[in-house]
Amino acid sequence: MNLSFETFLPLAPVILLSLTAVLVMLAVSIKRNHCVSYWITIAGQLAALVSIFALDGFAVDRVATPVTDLILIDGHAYFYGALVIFASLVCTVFLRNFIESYGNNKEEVYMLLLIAAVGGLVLVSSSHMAGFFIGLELLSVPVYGMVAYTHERSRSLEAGVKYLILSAAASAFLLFGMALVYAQTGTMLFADLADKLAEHGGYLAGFGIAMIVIAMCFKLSLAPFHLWTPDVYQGAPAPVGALLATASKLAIIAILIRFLGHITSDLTAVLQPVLAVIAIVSIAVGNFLALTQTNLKRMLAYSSIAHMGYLLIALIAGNSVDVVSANVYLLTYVVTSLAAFGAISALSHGGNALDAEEVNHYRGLFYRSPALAVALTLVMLSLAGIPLTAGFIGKFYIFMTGVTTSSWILLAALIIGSGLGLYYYLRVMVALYDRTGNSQADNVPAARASVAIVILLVVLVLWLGVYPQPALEFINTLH
Amino acid sequence: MEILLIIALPLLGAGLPLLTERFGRNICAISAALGPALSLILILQYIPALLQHQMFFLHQPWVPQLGLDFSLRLDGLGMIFALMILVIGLLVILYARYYISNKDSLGRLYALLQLFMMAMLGIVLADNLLLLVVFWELTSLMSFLLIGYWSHSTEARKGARMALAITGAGGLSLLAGALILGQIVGSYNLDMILNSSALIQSHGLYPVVLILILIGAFTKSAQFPFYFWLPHAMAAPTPASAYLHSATMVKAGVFLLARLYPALSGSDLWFYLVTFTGLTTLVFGAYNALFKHDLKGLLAYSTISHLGLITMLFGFSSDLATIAALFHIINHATFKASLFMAAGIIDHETGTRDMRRIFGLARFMPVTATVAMVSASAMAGVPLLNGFLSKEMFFSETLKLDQLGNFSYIFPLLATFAGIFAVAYSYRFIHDVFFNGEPNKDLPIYPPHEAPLYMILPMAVLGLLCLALGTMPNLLVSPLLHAAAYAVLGTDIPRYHLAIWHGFNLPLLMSFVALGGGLLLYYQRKGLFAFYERGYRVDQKVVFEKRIQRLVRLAQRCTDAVENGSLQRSVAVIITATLVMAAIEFWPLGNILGEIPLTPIDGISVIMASIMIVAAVVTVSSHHNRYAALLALSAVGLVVSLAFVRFSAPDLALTQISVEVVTIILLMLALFFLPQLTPYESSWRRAIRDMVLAGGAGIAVGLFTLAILTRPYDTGLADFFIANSVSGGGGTNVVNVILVDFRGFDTFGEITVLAIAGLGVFLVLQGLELSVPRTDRHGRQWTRDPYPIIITVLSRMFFPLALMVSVFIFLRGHNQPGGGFIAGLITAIALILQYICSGTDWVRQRLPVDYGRMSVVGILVAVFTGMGSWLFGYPFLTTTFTHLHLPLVGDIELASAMVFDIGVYVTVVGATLLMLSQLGNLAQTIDPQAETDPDFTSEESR
Repeated sequence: MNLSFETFLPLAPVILLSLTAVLVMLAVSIKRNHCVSYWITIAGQLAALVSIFALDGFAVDRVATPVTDLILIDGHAYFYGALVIFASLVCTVFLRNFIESYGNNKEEVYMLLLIAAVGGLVLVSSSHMAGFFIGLELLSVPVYGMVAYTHERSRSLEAGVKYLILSAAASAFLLFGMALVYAQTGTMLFADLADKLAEHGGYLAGFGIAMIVIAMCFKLSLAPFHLWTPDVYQGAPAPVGALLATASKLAIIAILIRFLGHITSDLTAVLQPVLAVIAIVSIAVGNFLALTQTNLKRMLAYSSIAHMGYLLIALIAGNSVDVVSANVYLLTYVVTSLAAFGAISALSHGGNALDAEEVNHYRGLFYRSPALAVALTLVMLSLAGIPLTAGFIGKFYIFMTGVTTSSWILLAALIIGSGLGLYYYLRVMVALYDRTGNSQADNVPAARASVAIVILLVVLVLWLGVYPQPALEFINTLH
Repeated sequence: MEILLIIALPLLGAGLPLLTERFGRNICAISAALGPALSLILILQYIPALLQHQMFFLHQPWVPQLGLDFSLRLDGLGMIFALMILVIGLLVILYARYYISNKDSLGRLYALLQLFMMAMLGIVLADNLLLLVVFWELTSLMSFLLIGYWSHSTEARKGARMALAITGAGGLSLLAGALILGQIVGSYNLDMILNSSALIQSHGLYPVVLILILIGAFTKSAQFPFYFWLPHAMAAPTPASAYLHSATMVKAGVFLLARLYPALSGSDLWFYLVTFTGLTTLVFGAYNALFKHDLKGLLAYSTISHLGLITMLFGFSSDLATIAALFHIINHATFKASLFMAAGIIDHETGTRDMRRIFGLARFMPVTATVAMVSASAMAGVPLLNGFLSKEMFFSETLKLDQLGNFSYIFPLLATFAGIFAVAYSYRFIHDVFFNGEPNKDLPIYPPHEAPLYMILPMAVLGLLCLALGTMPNLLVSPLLHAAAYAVLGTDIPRYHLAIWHGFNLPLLMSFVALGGGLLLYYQRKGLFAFYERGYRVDQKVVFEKRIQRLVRLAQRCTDAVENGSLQRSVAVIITATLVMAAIEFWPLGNILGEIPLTPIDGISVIMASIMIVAAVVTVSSHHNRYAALLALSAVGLVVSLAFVRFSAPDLALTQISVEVVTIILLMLALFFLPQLTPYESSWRRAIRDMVLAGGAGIAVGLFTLAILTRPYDTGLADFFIANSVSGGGGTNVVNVILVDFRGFDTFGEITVLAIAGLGVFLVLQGLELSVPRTDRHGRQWTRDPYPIIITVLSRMFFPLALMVSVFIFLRGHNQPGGGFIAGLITAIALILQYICSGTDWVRQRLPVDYGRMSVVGILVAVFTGMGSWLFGYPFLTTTFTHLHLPLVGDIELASAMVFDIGVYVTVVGATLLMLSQLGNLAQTIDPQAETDPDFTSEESR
């Protein structure tokens, strides 16, 4: 194969981000300066984002371009790539204020973030098991470091170690699964998988695929592989939680969609009931355990478990992957989640022993920081799926998938889960306007840049909720 | 376009009161009334045409992908609801002007009221089912905000949350129902849906659709068993209660029944579900209303009961019943809103709503008393008032039912029973509050005054309306009702006559029984109240709280059970799930074996396998004693190396054994700093769980291995390497050629990783201060003599030998088992032996090598070798080889790959020793001499 400049051109976002990571590292080794590292990171990510548009990433007539066997650049890859970069860009802004007051080295966190973003980009565009694994590890390993970045907090350290160990176990499963698939089919290319599976059949590959899916379920924190989620979300610094809840999940969903899309329907028929059970259990566990949480981060963790369960419905209902539904749902989920974690980040400081994570911190927030409180209200409404917010549109699509494929049990789980969900999202909302309760807040001023971004995100939430037309049309052109 | 304005004006007007709030309450109220008043004028223009059964549509695409259009329709049904919403809304705005105290923001209340008005108008005017759902959810949201208006009260916050949770969840169910309905019909357009009754009802999903939609309607209209949010919603400011929770929002549910009546009604399922839900609610609400001491509580239950009545009428699925239902919707809105306002005035003027504390107010507030009496009589169904008319129609409809055969009399019977209670609670409302003795002096506000005129006015208007509708129904309401009925029923509206006097008949008798029975009941109330208090008390709050508490407790229990943050459990769950998957996938186990026959079992293999199994079991069972476990573990490693030897993989065996040695030493050094024993933390249950899991996983992996080994594999790669090893890489040891030539780039990456790992360990350990244990767990000193002379001497003798072996292995590597990696490990072991036997300082003095630099040099050697091929115009890491004939030694093959292998060798030695010597360094402090050694301390501080 001839590798030339043109071959690598579609990879421009990946290359730009990698270069930025190196640049940040060099800048740190020359002279530590938080501001410089921050702006390099921002500039690099913006450049990567712009490069996607500059490459006409979303042109309607664009054909899928393979870059070596490992990577396939198409609309799907660019869509998720853009979302990953967007999420990490937003997290960068959240990180800045948070890390500013952190007593130890600040700059490396940007490097880790950038590497994780590179991993996410590789993952979303992989078309080969190797690319899959490299992307996943590149995405996960920096995140261990980021979760434990504020290692002076014992919770943060514990969360980091826990995530590391369990993630490593999941990765081992993934590798084992890939090995089994390869042993049976002799191919690591997604595109060949269907043919080879049909040719060789066999249950070794079937089990291999099941193991791959288990590893994915772990990363997506679907029940019963979700046990790490609340601890890690709680322990991780709030901006890192944002990354974990959005960029990381996005990239993994993207690869899961691709992967499931390439498996023959025979195999999905075997997987389907298993995944359906996982979806239902996730919805039940996520919503049920979120009910009594008094810690906002833990609540969001459980709610993310439930949301991933909803999303899974789009992936499995009716034995086919409803890509459009999944994309719409993810878009709305990412914007909303970023705003939720952004609000926590805005009130949290790396220098403190804890983030502003207890619901009590938010009691009467309206009277201290009205803009943030209103934003958080809308975020909660969006998470609950109330009309005119983004969350409604996303949930609507999942409903639609459930109805068109006649997946009644999944649909019932969705309805009951969402109903339960209302209850705990509302609890947070109500607390925001509660003047009477004793607020635990230490009256830290909210970080301006973070608040501005949160407001921007909430505007996006409303825009997607009120006038989703352009976004929906855009997503429809992708496939 | 004007239809759009009807909805849009309140929305646009919502901002006004917030802006004008500072100019005083009157201006604020007027600005708030502006939007709704204009809407009302707009809709009044349509009335003549609507009475002629015309319909007006507006179609505007919104999100076509979802089938969600901004389509509005204005027909008779929409008209009566819109009129109700706007007229009562305007009256409520006037009322709230006087009701809300200066402490609370009037502007905010007005803004919310108008937003609610917009949403409610949206429901009644929507022509697209999905649009209706959107507005539906918005009304829930606005009701949430209005109930929570008094944000300082816990009661209000809890009530608001409950209301939104119930109605919001109902909305989700409605959404699902609407989506399925849309799927059946192929459109969300109401026209299409309403005309597809046959299609819908013959569809297999009809029951699902019906139940989902009914859940939506019943939650909104507070039907049994979803009624409990409504009494809690009474924490809202009274204007909001009067407006939302009696006149409009709770009517959304019955509106939906009316709207979808043509499409969904007529089936048996519809009849049973709707009728019996309505009947239960009617009786249940009426019974409970009597015993509420809170004025608004009484009204809330009475609302529930009346909504049950309306629901039941829709359930009857007869044309006349439907007309009666529509009529009762109007009537209920008028008298109930009026009564809520009265309750608000009483609350406002006395400071309490507890009927046990307020008596005899008639003397103090005669006007309020009079109006309340009129409205309450309407509620009770006293002749000459509007409530009487619709109730009469209801009674006569119950008599017509024959679905239950001989048991059909149950409908009129229970209806009369509910009627008796309705009369009793209506009478109680009047008698308890306005008469029944003198007011207590301990009222929060004493003496009570009559409310301001403009506060009474809205209530009086509604009261008068009750009277007017009751006496002149044909003049005032017949045409409107006819238009609405036309919209619901279509062309064939049966003949009906709204008359006060139908002659002596059974319904009239039922009315009188209810009136008489109600009064009688009220006068026997003492015993009844005692019975109620004593017996099974259906206190909604307690029931709901209990239900919630139970759920919360359950959730808490689950949370506690699941959330212990245990890492082991997470891993256990993952492994269990995988095993389950494996079991599903591989069942039955019979076809695990592939076509390749099994090799015969021989004695040596059996012995080796048993040693390995025993060693593994010993490792696990003795893991509390770390050193013992380590020893057992090393046995496993050794047997693995032997297995490689046995199955003709000398390269692997060499690598394995050297890696094994290095690893064990590394582990021993690390374990040295840890407690010798790990505490027993797990219970026997967990031990068994872990044992089962470990056994299961082991068996599963064993089975996979068996499965894979008994299947043929593709030898293409192996054949290629064997064929090209000599010609392409100049070596007969295929493994080594692969390492340094075919896959040289991989090896290059690997040694880089190794070097980085070494540096990483070095950095992590640098500056680390560990307490060095001087004794073992029994308190015995570890050693008196760290460097026993015999070992020291022996090790020094071994050193040159080991180096020679490593050089030999390195050189032969290209053609026979060996190579840079193994040679590097052997050298490393030789050096470590010196460290162990003679101490760090001794070695350092004689061998002043910076291992970090060494590993980097190794990498550089590899890099430059690779780049060397660029000089000759080949890609990176292209190898060449030649044969050199040296005297004495003989034929020596020189391959550029060998230089690369030197790089590997140097890196391996450097990285390995970097880690081990640093770990050893930490342990060195055990040597008392070392602590005083100036050289050492300077080293440390560096």
